[in-house]
Amino acid sequence: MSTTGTDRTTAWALRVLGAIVVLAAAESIAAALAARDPSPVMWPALADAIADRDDDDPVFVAQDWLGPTARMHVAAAAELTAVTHPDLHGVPRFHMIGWGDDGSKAIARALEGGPVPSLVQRREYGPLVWSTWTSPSTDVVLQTLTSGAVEVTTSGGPCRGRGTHRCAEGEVRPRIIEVDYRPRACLATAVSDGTTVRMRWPNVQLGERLRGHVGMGDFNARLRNDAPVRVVVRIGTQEVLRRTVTDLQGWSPLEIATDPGVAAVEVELTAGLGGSFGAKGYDGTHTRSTCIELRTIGGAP
Amino acid sequence: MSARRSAIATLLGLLTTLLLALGHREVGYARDEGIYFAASRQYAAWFADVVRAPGEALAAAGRDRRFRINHEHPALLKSVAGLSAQLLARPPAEGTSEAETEAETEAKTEAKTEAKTNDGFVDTGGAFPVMDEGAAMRLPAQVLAGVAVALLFAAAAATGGTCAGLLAAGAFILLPHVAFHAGLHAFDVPVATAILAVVLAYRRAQRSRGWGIGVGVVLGMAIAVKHNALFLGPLLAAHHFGALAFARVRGQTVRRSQCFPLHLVSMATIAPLVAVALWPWLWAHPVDRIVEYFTFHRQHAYYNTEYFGLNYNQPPMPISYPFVMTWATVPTVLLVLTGIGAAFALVRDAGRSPPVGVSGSFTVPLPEGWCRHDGALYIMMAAFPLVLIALPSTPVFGGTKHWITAYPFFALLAAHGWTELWRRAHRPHAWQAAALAVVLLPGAITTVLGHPFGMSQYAPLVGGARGAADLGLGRGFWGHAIATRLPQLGAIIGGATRLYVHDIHELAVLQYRREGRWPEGVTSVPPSRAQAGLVFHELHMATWEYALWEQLGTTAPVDVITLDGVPLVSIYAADAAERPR
Repeated sequence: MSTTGTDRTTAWALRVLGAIVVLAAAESIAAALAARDPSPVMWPALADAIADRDDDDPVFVAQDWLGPTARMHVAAAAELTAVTHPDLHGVPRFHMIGWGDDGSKAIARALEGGPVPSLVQRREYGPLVWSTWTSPSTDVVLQTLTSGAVEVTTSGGPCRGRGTHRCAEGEVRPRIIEVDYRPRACLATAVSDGTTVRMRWPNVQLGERLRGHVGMGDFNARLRNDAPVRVVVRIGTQEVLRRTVTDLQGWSPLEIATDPGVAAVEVELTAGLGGSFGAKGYDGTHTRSTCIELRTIGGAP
Repeated sequence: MSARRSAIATLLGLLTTLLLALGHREVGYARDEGIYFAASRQYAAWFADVVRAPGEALAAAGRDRRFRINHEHPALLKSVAGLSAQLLARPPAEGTSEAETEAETEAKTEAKTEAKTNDGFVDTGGAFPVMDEGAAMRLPAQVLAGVAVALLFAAAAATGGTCAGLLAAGAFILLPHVAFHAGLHAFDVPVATAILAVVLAYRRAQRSRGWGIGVGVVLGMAIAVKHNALFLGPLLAAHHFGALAFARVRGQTVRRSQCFPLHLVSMATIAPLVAVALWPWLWAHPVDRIVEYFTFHRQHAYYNTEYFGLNYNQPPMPISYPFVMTWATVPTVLLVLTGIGAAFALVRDAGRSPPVGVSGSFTVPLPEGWCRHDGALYIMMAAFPLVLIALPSTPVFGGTKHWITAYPFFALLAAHGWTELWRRAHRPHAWQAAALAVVLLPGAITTVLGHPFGMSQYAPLVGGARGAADLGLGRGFWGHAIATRLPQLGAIIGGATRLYVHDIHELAVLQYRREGRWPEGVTSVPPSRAQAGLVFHELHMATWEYALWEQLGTTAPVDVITLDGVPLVSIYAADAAERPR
C-alpha cells in the first residue's frame, strides 16, 4: 500500500476508534444517569404535598410500572376507586403522578372518546411529576351501579345473598378482576356454561349517559377460552343495547344516551362457555369470569 | 500461548468465579434452581450409593431412583453441583433434611410422584462445610463462567494481543444478563461455555489429530450440559463443508478424505457415547428415554414474555424479539464492535489466497495455509441462536438466556474488530489500553449497578430499567428478587405467618429453609389463605396481585423492591388488626 493509502487507512481507523470511544463514553454517562434514583427522598415530599391538597379529586398513576411504589407512598393513589378507575368519563378534575411523565399517554388511553382535559398545574419533586388536569366537561358520575345493591336472577330463580349473590348456576359478586392486565372493579359472573344472568337496578338516577365496560378475566382464562359474551341492556322495558363481546376486545366500552330521571336498568349477561380448552379438550369447570361495570353520568345535581 | 497470557487467563477465570461466588450470595434462588437443587442432592446421593453399595446403585433400579427427578435435562452439571455440595455445604437447618421434608415436599411439588428416595441418604452437609448448600451447588456453574472468560481471553489474545483478550473476556462477562445467569445453578452460561469450548476445539481439530478426537469428547460433555449443544454437529459440519466448497471454488483440490474428516467422525461417534455415559438415566431403555427427551423439548411449554407492553405466550413471537432484546441488554458499543469485527473477518477470509502444494487429509482436513474461515464460523455461532429463537415456529422462550450461547462469539468478533482497527491505527499501546477501559465501562457500570437484579437490567441507550419499563419490556421472571429482603421479611410483613410466595418455587423456599434464611414460622399458602403476600411483577401474573388486594383488603404494599425506581417485587400485608384468620 502506498504511503498515502496507509495514511488514509490510519486516519479512517482512528476516526472509527474515536467514534467508538465517544459512543462508549456516552453510554457510560447514560448508564450512570439511568441508575440515579432520588425517589426514596422525593416520594415522602410528594406524598405530603398530595395529602395536603385542598380537593378530593382522584389521584391516578401515569405509568403502570410505577403503581406499587406510588400506592405505597401516596395514600390517595392507593384508593380502590382510583386504582380501578374504568375510564376518565365523568371525572371533571383529577391528578396524575408519574416519573418524568405528566400522564398525557395514560390520559389518552383512558379518555375513550371523551373530551381532552387540559393541564392546570405541574409540580416536580425530583423526577416525580404531580400534574393536575381538568376536563372541559363538567359531567360527573351520578351512580355506580355495579358497586351498589343489585337484584340478580337466573333461569334457576333469584340468586341469594347481598354482596355475593349465590345462584343455582354459580355466583355473581363484586370483584377486582384483571382485564387487559389492569385491575377492574366490577360485578363478576362465574356461572355454568350458557347461563343468562340478569342484573336489575330498580331505581337508577339517570343522567345523559349510561356508560360501562365488559371484559373477561383473567389472562390464563382468556388464553384457554375465546367464547364470546352476549350483553343486553334495558332501561325500563326498552332494550337499548344488544352486543356480543369477545376477549380480544379487552376492556370493551359501552355507552347509551339516556334521558335524565329515575328508571330501572337491567343487564343480561350470557357467557356461552366459562371453562377452559386444553390438550384434553374442553373442561367446563368455571375458570373465566365475565366482568361488567356500569355508571350513570350527567351534569352535577 | 505465552506463560504470561496463561497466567492472565487463569487469573481472569479465578477472579470471575470469585466475584460470582461472592456477589451471588445476594441473588435469590431462581425458580428453576429449586428443582435443580433437589435433583443435585439426589444425583450426588447416587455417587454415595455407588461407594456404599455399588451393586445396588449401578443396577437400573438404583440408577433410576436417583436420576428420575428432573430427567428432562442431562445430569452432568447437576451431578457436579451435588458433589460440590457434598464437599462444601453446611448441614441443613434443623427440621429441613431430606428425610424430614420429604413428606412435606411430596404434598406440594412435582416431586410427589417420585419414588421414596431417602433410603441410605446421608444429608448432613459436606466434608468441608464452608458455605450454604445453594452457594456450593452454584459453584460449578460459576467455575464454568470463569472458564469461558479464560477461554475468550486466550482465543482473542492469541491473534490480537492482551487488550483484545481483555476485550473479549469483558464483552462477555460484563453484560448484566450474562453476569446474572453465570452465577446460578442453571445450564445457560455453562452450555455457552461448553459450546465455546467445542467451537474452539473444532477450530483446532482442523489442524490437529489429537483435537480431532478431543472435539468429540468435548461435544459429548457439552451435550451432557444442555440440549443446545445438539445443534453443534450439524452447524460445524455445514461450516466445514462450506470451507471446502470455498477452497474448491478458489481452485484448490479437495480430497475425498477431507470431506468426512476425523473431527466430524469423532463428533458423530464419540460425542453421543460420552453424552450417554455422563447421564445414567439413559443407561436403561436408552432409545425410549432419548425419544422422550427430544419430545419434551420439541413440545416445550411456552413461557410468557412481555414485549413492548404485550404478553406473548404462543408462537409466533415477533421476529424482531431476540434482536431488539439483544440491543436492549447489550451496550451498543459492543454490538458496533461485533459488527465491525464480523465485516473484517469476512473480508479477510474472502481475500485469502489458496496455498500451493499443501493438501488436506482425514486427520488434518484444513492444514496450515488453508483458510479456516474463522469469521464465518464465529458469525454463524453468533447468529444461529438468535435466528432460531426468531423463527415463527419456535416455541415462545423467555429471556435473553435462551440465546446467551451467542454472546461468546459476539465477544470474539468484537475483539477481532478491535484488533483490526488498532492494527491500522498505528498508535501506542497505552492508547489502546485506555480506550479499552472506556469501551468496557458501559457494560461494567450496568452490571455492577444492576446487581443483584441483573436479569432486570437494561442497556444505557434504552434508559436502563426505567426506560425498559416505559417501553413495556419484561422486568424479570423466576421469583428470585427477594433474597436481599429475606432477613427483614418477617418484620416487614408484621408477624404474619401465612405468606403467598407467588413465583418462588416451593423447592426454592425449601432451599432457603435448609439454609436458615427463610423467616421463622412463615409458611407459604395460596392467596385465598394469605395474611401477607409477595408479587413478582410480570404482566401475565397481574391477576395474583389483585387477588391479594381482595384477600388483604389493601392495594398499598408495605414494601417494594426496586431497581432504579422500577418495582420488581411488591410485598403486601394485611393490617395486623384485620389479618385474615
